[in-house]
Amino acid sequence: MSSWDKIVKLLEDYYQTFLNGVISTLLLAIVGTGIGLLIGIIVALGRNIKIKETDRFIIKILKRVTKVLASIYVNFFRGTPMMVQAMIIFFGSSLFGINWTNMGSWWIFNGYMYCGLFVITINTGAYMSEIIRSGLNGIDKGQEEASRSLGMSYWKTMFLVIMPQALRNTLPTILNEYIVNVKDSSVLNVIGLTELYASVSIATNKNYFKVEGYIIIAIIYLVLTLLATLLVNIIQRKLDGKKIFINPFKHTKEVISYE
Amino acid sequence: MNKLILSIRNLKKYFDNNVVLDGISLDVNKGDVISIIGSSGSGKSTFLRCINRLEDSNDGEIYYYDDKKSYRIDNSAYYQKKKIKSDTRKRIKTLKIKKASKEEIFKVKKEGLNQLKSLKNKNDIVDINYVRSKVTMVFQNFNLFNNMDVLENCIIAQRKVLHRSYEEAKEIALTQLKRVGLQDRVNYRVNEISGGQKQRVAIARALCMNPEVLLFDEPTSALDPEMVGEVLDVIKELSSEGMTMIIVTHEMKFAHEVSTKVVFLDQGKVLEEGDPEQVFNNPKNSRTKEFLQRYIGSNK
Ligand SMILES: Nc1ncnc2c1ncn2[C@@H]1O[C@H](COP(=O)(O)OP(=O)(O)OP(=O)(O)O)[C@@H](O)[C@H]1O
Ligand SMILES: [Mg+2]
Repeated sequence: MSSWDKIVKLLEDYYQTFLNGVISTLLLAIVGTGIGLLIGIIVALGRNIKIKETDRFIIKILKRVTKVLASIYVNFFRGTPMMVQAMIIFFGSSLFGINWTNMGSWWIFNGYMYCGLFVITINTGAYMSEIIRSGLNGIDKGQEEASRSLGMSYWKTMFLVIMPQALRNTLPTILNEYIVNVKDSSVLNVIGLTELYASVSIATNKNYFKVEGYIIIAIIYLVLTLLATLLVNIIQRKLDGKKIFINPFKHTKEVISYE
Repeated sequence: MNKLILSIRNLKKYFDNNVVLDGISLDVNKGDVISIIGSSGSGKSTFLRCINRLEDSNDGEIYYYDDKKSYRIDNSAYYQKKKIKSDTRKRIKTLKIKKASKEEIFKVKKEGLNQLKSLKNKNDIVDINYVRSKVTMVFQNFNLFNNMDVLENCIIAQRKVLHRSYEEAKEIALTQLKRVGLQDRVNYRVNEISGGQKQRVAIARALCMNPEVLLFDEPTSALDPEMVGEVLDVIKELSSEGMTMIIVTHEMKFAHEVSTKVVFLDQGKVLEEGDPEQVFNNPKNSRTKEFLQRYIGSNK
């Protein structure tokens, strides 16, 4: 049997397994990146809090605690391998009375998947917060001051003026996090989650077509990441052009002439 | 006619131990155009930024007078409290060293407490954002919002601070943009217009808030020479319409023409103030003279 025949045979017999693997991997990457971005925004805001000398004592303490907690979170999840984080969370959760293994299962959804989603989300959140923070720091102080001097509050200034620009400027990096997640979700097989990488061991369990199995998923990973890279490039090119920009106003553009 | 709008009393500002504003007092009446001149580092920007409370002042008071109410803008109360506390503590310490009687020490304590109490009553400010919309600032570097076009730059604060409807805000924005001569640029992006136009948008954006006072911090210093004129013309127009303004500027000729009062700031102190004729043609202080000679001398 040639390698080509083995690949065809694997795809014929186990296409459902691979398909579920692809869907699981995409789910992990999309949810991880999406919710991770939200966490990243919140944590970045927490880390960027400024403690003013004139703040009340209790406010100063609350701000300091928030900053320290956010900083511990970011440094821990960026400084340790996701594989290790996954193991700690999967087995450590029992200390809090959470047992991932008896959560019921339907299709690709089961306790392993929920745990995997949790791990990849908070892991991504840590990276996202640093991306957002660099984006926020890249917006010149002047716009914030101008907004405040017109009477806009800190939060209005942040969400209508500063954050839209920070997101726009970091969008390519944010989407890159998605590509990283497509690939790195493979380490989550350590907790027993069958995403794309783990689907190979199921498909080659009896026939031992190991190499062919991994060639198949390598190609699938490549397609998934190349598609995302293509998307990043298109978006980047559009952003570099002048016309697209993030606008907090929802109304459509109209040309107004005034006489 | 002489309605007091802003009153600044003995304003002090330190950066660490560096005294930047050293007790500045200034009253601003409706319709006043006050130019602030002085060499680099004399504290002009810091003074404006304290009025807008972009910087916290350390001592002194700033009041804004509305039709109905007066607002204390500064938040130096924190520092004043701190000072009263440490002063009282010091006085008690020296009294103790002198072995003063208990009654004397008690008296000093009570004095301190009374000072603190009177401070609380004075501190009637709350809504700084409201005051900021009434006393608003135009910056040297325009600081337009880059994620919006010209029209939206003028609309957003009206919607979010004054809670005007979109239609109303748009109408006002168009009127103000026309006032600064930019009716044909309303849908341009910020990076598609020139520096002079940017500054005029910034002025229109401020005018949309119906401010009582406009603060200008070197509005033409970041502009190419050929664009300075268009911005100064807009400001002159505003002054002829009776707008109250405080303008920090290095354009002496303009300051001479437009102001009702000129203030010369040096090392955080008002060294000279008066009507422009007097300050420019007949300065009393030798430092003012020196400064003007450097400027006007090099301009001629
Ligand atoms: N954020 C800050 N931290 C520390 N020192 C500051 C800060 N801002 C200003 N200063 C100092 O305060 C002094 C006055 O600065 P300011 O910007 O008010 O001067 P200025 O009169 O506006 O000068 P210029 O004409 O150059 O704009 C300067 O010595 C400056 O170094
Ligand atoms: Mg300055």
